[in-house]
Amino acid sequence: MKRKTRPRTRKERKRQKIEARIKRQKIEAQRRTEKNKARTKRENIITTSFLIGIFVCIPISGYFAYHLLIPLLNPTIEPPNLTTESNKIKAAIVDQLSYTDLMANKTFVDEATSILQEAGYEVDYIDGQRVTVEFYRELGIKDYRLIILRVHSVLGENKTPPLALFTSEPHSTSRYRYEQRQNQTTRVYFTSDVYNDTTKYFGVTSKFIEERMYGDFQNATIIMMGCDGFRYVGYDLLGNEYYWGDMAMAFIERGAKVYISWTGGVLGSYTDAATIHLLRDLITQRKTVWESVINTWKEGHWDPYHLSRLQYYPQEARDYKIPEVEKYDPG
Amino acid sequence: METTKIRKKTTLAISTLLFLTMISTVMAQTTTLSVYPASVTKQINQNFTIDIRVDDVDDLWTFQINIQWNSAKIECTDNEVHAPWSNWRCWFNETDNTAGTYFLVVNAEDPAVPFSTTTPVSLVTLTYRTKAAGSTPIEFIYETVLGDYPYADPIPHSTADGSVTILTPSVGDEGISEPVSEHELMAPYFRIAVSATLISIAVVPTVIIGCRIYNNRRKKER
Repeated sequence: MKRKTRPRTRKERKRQKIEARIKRQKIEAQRRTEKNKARTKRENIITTSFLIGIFVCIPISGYFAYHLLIPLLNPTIEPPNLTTESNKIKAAIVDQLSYTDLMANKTFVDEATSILQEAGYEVDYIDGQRVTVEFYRELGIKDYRLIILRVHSVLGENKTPPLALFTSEPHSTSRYRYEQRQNQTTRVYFTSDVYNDTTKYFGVTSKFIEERMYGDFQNATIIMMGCDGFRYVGYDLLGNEYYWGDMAMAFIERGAKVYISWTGGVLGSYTDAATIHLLRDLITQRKTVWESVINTWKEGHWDPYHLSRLQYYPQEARDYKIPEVEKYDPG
Repeated sequence: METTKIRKKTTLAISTLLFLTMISTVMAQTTTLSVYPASVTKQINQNFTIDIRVDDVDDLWTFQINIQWNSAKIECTDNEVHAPWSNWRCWFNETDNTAGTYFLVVNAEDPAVPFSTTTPVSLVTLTYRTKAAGSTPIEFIYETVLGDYPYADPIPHSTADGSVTILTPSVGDEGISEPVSEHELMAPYFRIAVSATLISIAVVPTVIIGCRIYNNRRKKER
């Protein structure tokens, strides 16, 4: 073992002292550098993780916040201020079927317009292009006393309610998001190639009529020419056939006096012919709702393919006669 | 008295004979060429087929069929000839969807056997597609010819036309309404969120590494 030699001179001792100090300083510096490196590394890891965390969290939390909050947000839109220029009593023919040549029927439109005009109504004809979700939203503030809905209407899978009225507005997941989430609007389309139309459209349900529509119908008469306006339920306590329709209830809920529609599916030609007959009875001959509906049926205007016929709602409207134009209450 | 009885009997016999002759004549002319089914009801844009059938025929050796329909209502998309012989030739097989006519001329060739039947047999199947609502007859026009063996002498026959009724489709019964799922509504936003996350995972370390390299270079320069 090597023994440490003692410094001989004072000079040597001083040098040794200096060397030791330098060595200590070097070790200290090295240790400090290593410590700094470790700290820098640790800091870098923390910063990176923090930044990644922030970038990951922002979109995810945004997604979940939106997901959780949107059902609570009920976008309220101010109804447009429509001023009617004329004081005439108005009727509307909402001809969504005219959107395609296949179902368009100018003869029907001309005849229906003529019956209404002869009775003194001012008739607004709404062609297929104009039948959108927004149109339905504003239907209640346009002051119509008689509305003919010449539209496709469809039920859900396995023919389950709610019934949806077709619009001619192609469906998109980025529009009417609140309404879609609330099942006020749905996606509607044809399942048969007979229509030669594979486009998916927005449909408005009875929930839309009840909850998202402006105004009310002010005792208007609604004639819904589409399929399945009513569903057969069975017999009521008095032994009468009982039909139920969510759309019928929605319109009555929003102030309509009577809602007339079909008890099942119906072909275009049958609904057109039956509606003309019904209008003549209701408007020209001023029969009661019950008389008009039954008479239309008895005169052969029913659908032998779907075994469906016209029906009305509510029962209280049985003896209701559509007032003559001059006798309408302007309020 | 006796003479009167004989006269009466003779008259009765002659009347009976005449009646039987008439009946047999009518019974003999039962060969018919018909459209089957006689009545078709379809919706717009649907396909259907009809057969041109021959019934109760003897020694058929050739036939010529001319039929017509309203070309605005239906169009013929296909035809399939079922000549009832082992060897035959088709002289004309023409469809004109502008005029709405179909013309077919077929005859048997040796060594085929003349065709006889007492039950309806299809000579041609026509496939149609409905175009517009309304109705149209499918009727035999000009002269339909059934010829016998061997000289194609005309076989007396009657024809029975058909008709097609085309209905507009139902106003929605063949459609469906489906609610849009939450998943579908959120899908575009979810895609944006995932993209942003992936971008940030890629971008943040790159930025940090870049900064460090830059700092190191500056230190070295000093």
